[in-house]
Amino acid sequence: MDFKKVKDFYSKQIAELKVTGNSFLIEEIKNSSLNEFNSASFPSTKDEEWKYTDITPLLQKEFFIAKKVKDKINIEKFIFNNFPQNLIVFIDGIFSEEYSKYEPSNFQIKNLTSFTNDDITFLQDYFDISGSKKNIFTIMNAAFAGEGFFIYVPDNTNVELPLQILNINGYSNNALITPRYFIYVGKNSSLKIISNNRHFSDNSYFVNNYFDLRLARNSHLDFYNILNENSFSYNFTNILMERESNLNHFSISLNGKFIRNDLTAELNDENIECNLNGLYLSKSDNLVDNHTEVIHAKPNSNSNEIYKGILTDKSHGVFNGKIIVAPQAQKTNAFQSNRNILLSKDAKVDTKPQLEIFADDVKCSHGATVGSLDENSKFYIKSRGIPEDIANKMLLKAFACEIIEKIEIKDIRKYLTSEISNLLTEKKSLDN
Amino acid sequence: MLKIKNLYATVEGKEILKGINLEIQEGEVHAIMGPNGSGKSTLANVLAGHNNYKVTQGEIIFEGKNIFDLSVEERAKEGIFLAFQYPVEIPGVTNYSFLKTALNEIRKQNNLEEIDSKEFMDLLNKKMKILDMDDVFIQRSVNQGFSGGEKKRNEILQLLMLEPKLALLDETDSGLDIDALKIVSNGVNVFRNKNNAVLAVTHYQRLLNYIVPDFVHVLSKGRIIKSGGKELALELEEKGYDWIKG
Ligand SMILES: Nc1ncnc2c1ncn2[C@@H]1O[C@H](COP(=O)(O)OP(=O)(O)O)[C@@H](O)[C@H]1O
Ligand SMILES: [Mg+2]
Repeated sequence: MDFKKVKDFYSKQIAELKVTGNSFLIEEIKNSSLNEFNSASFPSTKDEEWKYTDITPLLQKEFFIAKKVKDKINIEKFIFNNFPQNLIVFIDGIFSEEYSKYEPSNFQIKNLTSFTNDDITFLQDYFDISGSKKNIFTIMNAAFAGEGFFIYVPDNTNVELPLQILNINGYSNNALITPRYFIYVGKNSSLKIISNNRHFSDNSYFVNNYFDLRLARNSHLDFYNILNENSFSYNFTNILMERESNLNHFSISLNGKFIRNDLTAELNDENIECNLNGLYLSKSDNLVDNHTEVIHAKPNSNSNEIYKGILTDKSHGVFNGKIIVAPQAQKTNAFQSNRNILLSKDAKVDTKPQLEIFADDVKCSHGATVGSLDENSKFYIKSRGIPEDIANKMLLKAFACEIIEKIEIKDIRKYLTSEISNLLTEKKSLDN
Repeated sequence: MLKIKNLYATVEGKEILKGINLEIQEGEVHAIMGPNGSGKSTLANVLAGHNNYKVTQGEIIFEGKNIFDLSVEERAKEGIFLAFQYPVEIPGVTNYSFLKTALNEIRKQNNLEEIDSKEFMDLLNKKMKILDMDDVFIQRSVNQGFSGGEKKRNEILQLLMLEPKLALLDETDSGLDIDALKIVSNGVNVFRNKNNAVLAVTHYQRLLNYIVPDFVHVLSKGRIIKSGGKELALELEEKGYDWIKG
């Protein structure tokens, strides 16, 4: 595989990209990102962070920035609908005014293209993530970032209505989709966001999402990233948390040929509560890879990470959970668990905790399991006359409920439960 | 109703049951007693069709049919019910939906329509009253976080709801205080009628004060070494198992 050729292909696209915003700064970001892109390289499986995840299939295809969709499309079926909310819709990564409905009364939603040079400091901060976190995909996202949203909640503001960001992907074939979201929750404020990523068709596409979540002092954010993709999906989530802030993050990967989620959470002060919940399903010969990193920089904070996976057919799951506890971060509580159920003998999971603990007075625990559905539990259910397939569904529900019951939005809970059932129905090989 | 002929069974290659013969008629209560490890739970599991247990010889005839080829759920639908020694917890699945799913599967077998919700709730409330169970159990996840006694009560609730022909009770008295034991036993006695039967597997005689057996069998090392009437249970209680061994 000639990685150089692939880079040249995207490099040329970036160079020819017309920046739509009012700001020449975006032009600058594009140019500097292009330079960075040119000197970065695509990872191979020799890379420790990409050991189990081969991106060759992604690089073998050529993706292009999509054009704005003019046709009327039915988006209803994709929306979580049964509650009042604000809605922002993107189709193939391009903001769609006509389908979006939002009335931010007490917070701001701003399209990247509407920024001007007055917003320079804001923009610079937004794009300037520290060097160590950058990788070729995040650089690519910045370089292509013509589209994106700033969601800004001022201090002392509770945003009651959840905000749903609906991304409908794969309307056109070979779309390159690179939205970037910056979410800031001010002091003593709260916000709920549902990032709802769906596929329109069987087209192939490449989504490269970038989420920047910042929680100011004593703020609260519930964030659901729900992926029901069909093709390639890369998601980078950068989380910065200040004193007494509280995050409930849900990384839900339901489907996708190739999914890689990189998430990094920095707990930069004391008394922070960071809850990372993950649920991933995979089938056929799909790949789902979750790499997470939790950094405890200061004392007295808690992180609680639970990722659960259900895999069938010949699918492959990867979990790598890093916890870093800095020398001064005494009295840290860091908990991590990764549990996996394999529904077929050809499915597999590579799971690895990575603990780097430099403080001595901390409570850290981690655990990982890969197994199949418990035979004794299955026997119990079947002994009540319940057939095998329903018994399996019940047991998967039981397995996932630790995550699902933490979700406050009923629509999402129902959706996940039915997706889990579908996984069994669609299961291709019926081996033991 | 049930005829067990010269039954041998193994678990993980180890022979546990070594030639069991037992016959149970409608309306009867049989007790199987025996020391720990004698194979009581194994027998119950073999009858219910647990696939860890392999029948290597002999046969089980239930309602005139050899059930060797029947799966666990098919046996349940035919009317065999096992109240577990250690009931399983199923988080995220409510007692309500679990019981309703099970009941409808069994009704399907008997060519009955799905039960409607109102009728189901009436039935459930009636049965729960017998067991002195609180309404909150309806919406709680199956056995999750239940105390030992609550789990046993829940087993008997399922028994009362599903109304099988043959109830296998595996150590149903274990973990129960005397009040709970009375309630649970009463549940079993409510279940009993002239068309069904109970096979109670127990280590102790205690349960048999409340669920009075017609026959008592002593299981030792995978064989029934003695059978008798209900007095045999009292004798065992008094003298222990040693006196019949040998
Ligand atoms: N799943 C199993 N795997 C291995 N050995 C088992 C299993 N179930 C039962 N046994 C063995 O079979 C024997 C009988 O056990 P069991 O039927 O549970 O006895 P009881 O119920 O009378 O106490 C014991 O030696 C036990 O260790
Ligand atoms: Mg036992």
